[in-house]
Amino acid sequence: MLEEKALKLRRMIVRIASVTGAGHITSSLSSLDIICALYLGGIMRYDPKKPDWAERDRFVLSKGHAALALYCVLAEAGYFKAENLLTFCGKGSKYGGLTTTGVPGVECYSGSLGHGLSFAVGYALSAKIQERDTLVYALTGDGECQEGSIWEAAMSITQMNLNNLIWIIDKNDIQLSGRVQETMSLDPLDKKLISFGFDVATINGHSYDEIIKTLQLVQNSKREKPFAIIANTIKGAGVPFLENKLGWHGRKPNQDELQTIISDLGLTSEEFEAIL
Amino acid sequence: MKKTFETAIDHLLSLDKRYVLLLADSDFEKYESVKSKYQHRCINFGIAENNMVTAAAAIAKDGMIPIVYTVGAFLAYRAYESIRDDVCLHNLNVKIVGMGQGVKINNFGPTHHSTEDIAVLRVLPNLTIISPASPLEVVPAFEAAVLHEGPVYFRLGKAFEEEIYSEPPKFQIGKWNVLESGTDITLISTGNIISNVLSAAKKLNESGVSAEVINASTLKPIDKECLINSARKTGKVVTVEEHQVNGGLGGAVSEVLATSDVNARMEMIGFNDTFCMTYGWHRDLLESYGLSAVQIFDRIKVFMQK
Repeated sequence: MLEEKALKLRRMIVRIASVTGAGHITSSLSSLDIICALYLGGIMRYDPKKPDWAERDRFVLSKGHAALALYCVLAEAGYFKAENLLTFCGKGSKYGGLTTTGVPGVECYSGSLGHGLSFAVGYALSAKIQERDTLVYALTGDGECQEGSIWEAAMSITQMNLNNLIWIIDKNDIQLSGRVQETMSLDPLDKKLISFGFDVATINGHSYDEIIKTLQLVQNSKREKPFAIIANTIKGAGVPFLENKLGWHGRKPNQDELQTIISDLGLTSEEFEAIL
Repeated sequence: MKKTFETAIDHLLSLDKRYVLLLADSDFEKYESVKSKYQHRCINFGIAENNMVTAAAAIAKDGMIPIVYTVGAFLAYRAYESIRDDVCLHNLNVKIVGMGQGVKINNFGPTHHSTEDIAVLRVLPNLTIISPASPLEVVPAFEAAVLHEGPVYFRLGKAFEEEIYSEPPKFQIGKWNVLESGTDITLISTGNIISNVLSAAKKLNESGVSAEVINASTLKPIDKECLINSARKTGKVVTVEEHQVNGGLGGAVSEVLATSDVNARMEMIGFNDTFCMTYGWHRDLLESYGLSAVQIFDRIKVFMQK
């Protein structure tokens, strides 16, 4: 069921990017299953008709360049019509290339990396001060974890025992200029996080079985410690032509490449053009 | 000013549960007392200003009113992107209190000086900047800051500031106070260095020059009406600040005058494209850079003779 929805959303991501000539396709495909599980897999508490509902769980997309994934999931969740996304990055559009708060359901501007986890810290602190049982989910990239502010936030999460915050790291090992482990390696990331005081799970970030089970476990546990999930992912997941390839961060495919991508998504050109 | 501010914070936290004090291992003498009274509404982030300011933005987005407090230099420079992207871009109700106006943290050197904070912060959309002149102005100015819906940078002093008021002045964001009326020259200053300007003005008056002294305690929005009216009257404007003149009060005033129909000559007194590289008493630092009352008086006299 979720796999079917995810396929539909993958096609939508590529379609919007090809129509508008904007967006980070491979980053969005990397994060999609995690975001899809949170909103459409019965994990998060939210009401698309009341985006500012105080009792909602908060999702902070810190790697704002995966905006297309979040926008498509929010559209599927009922926050707005998917057709709106055809204005993505267009003149006068509120659907910016990096997440913007004008979009219903988006909790904060993201783009400059290393901010979102601290934003999630603020939400988690505020929930505790106001004695609300809402949860906060933060999704960062792995390259993003090269920012020092991420580790400022990490220290505060455990020091303040923000066990209402779940930090998910989309670990696809590719950043703009190359492999993360060759640029500025994070490994062993699990040991780093454990030493910072987190309970850590390492999962396949494209397996709904693993994502949902882990998130349910976190929700239902006493959560004595803050929780971090290392989601091993594939940049460009779901499109073999793009998967785990360097040089596709924010790149727009040419016509020949697009045909291959459409074929990888199991569509004809006519079917692809009929998506939106 | 710091002591006055700390007392004001203690009182503020007792008034409304939406107020939250965020510290970054800050020099806040009442910390233990405030922490024991308000517990989870007094949060120490350790030496991590970026995290503190961005977290404050989310706390404000969630309906609370966070007050972040530490050395102004660390907020304006270290946490600049957090102030820009997370507080100002979202237009959130965060009060950013930077302690140590100008070179008030005298013996720690340039890393702790707020000599560029006005310049880098006043370009940020949505941000209001308040700079009280003396301890008695701190409370009304801070009350206005917390009642204002939106981000505020509050440029606080430290200790031993000369009091310029006999009672708490009325304070309104965007409205400057004319401390002394005059007709020959307009002297505009911000922060506690205004006490030196008042001394210089007194000497000017004794020498037959009628000086108007204006306390620019709101730096953004600038009080254009007050500035233009005074400049039109005197035709001569001097700004005095414990800050770089480029981009600071001098820059702000010259921007307004340059685009107005007022024909006024101008002089800018402050740090002129230099860090403050000396140590000693606060007054020693000011004197080293031509900012004592006598030196200000002399500069103004020269300017008037041009």
